[in-house]
Amino acid sequence: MALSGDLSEFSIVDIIQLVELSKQTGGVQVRGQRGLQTFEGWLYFRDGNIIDATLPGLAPLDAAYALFLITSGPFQFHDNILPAAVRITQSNALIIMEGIHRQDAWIAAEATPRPALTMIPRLVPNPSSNGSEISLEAEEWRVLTMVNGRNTVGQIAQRSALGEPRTAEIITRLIQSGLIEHKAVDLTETFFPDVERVVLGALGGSARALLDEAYTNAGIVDRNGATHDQVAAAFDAFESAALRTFGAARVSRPLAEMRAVAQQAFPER
Amino acid sequence: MALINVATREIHCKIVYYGPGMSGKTSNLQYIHSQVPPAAKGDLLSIATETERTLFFDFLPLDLGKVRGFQTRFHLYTVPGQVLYERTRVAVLNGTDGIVFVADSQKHKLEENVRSLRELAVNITKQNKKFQDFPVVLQYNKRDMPGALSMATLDKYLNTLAWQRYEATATNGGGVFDTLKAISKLVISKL
Repeated sequence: MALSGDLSEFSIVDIIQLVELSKQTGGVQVRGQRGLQTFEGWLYFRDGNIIDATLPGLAPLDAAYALFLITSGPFQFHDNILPAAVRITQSNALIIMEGIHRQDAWIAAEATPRPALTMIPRLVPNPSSNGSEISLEAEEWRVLTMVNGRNTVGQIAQRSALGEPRTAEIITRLIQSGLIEHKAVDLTETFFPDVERVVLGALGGSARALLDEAYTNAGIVDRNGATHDQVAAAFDAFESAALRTFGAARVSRPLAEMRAVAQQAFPER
Repeated sequence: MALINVATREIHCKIVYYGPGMSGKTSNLQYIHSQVPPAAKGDLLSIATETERTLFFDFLPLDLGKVRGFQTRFHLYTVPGQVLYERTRVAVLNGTDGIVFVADSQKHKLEENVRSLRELAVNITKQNKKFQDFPVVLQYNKRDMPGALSMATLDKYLNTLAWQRYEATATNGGGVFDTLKAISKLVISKL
């Protein structure tokens, strides 16, 4: 069967259904790109049924699903090319539905901003599965075990050795599947104590009064509700007062540290 | 084979009502069509040739839920009346995902039922499918007729593969939806 073209015009679903309809035996070779990665994979059929798929580094079934993520690139059907063994026994319909499901999840993940590395995810206490099964890959499970309401995305990326982009991608998927959620940061638990530690460590206990006064003057009453602008204003006021009291030589380093802590606590700025 | 429409997120499954002439296949389809809410169904269409016609319509059962985010749309087909040409029945069976075999319970129809069931087995096998694994639900129709055979007798001659079977009186709708529900679930489970 002469069947070749580009996936942007003839999707993998069309290919599978056409091969199934005509009960063909052979392999479809697919080349394409997803992000920066280039794929070259095969999908094999016997009498129109998918029996195997290959894509470097993936198990047969995962390879079949991953082919749905390639939406452009050349494909060609080769008659009578068969793999050594049948390694996929799921029906074409199930593979298409799962493949499309993963394609949807991928598109949604692409459209969703990646979580900030400072974001602290936590497990959802009672996840609702909406009646559908949630299946986790090994890497997703590794990330999930490190989600504890204390580790940031950056720390999880480091400890899991998966790298920041992959970790952020997995965190996004876990959030979408309703297993984890963004833990609201309690500023009084982390941010304010961290700032105080920096100030007192560098300038001593006498600086505490200047800091409290700066917070009050910036309108910070409920500390947990403090905004980035209020904190920035408070730090500016504290800088002026501290320069007069301690001199530039002692103040510049702790102030830089304080602003770095604020940057982490309010990453959207 | 079930066809998938990605744009509408629907999976289309074809169910054929098969059986001897006058066993009640058309009554089944007409009753189902009359009961499905208009918004969830297509028109009951009749494709007529010079000698025979095929009846079909499609509908979205709202109580079956979704499979991996896909809604199942069923296309119900039958070849009504006494069809002379086996070729037509073979054509309608092509690509079917499930069969409802509508048997006439009356004693004098037993032989016709058996013959029709044999023909079905041959036609399914011709499509490279194992008949014993194929989704089939039996319907013993016309239970209200005076000459109706007992369920045990019908089982003995028609249900050697131990399919799910239902009693029905399709003209008033008795057992029609039980049969449909059974074949729908069976088809979905075999996807």
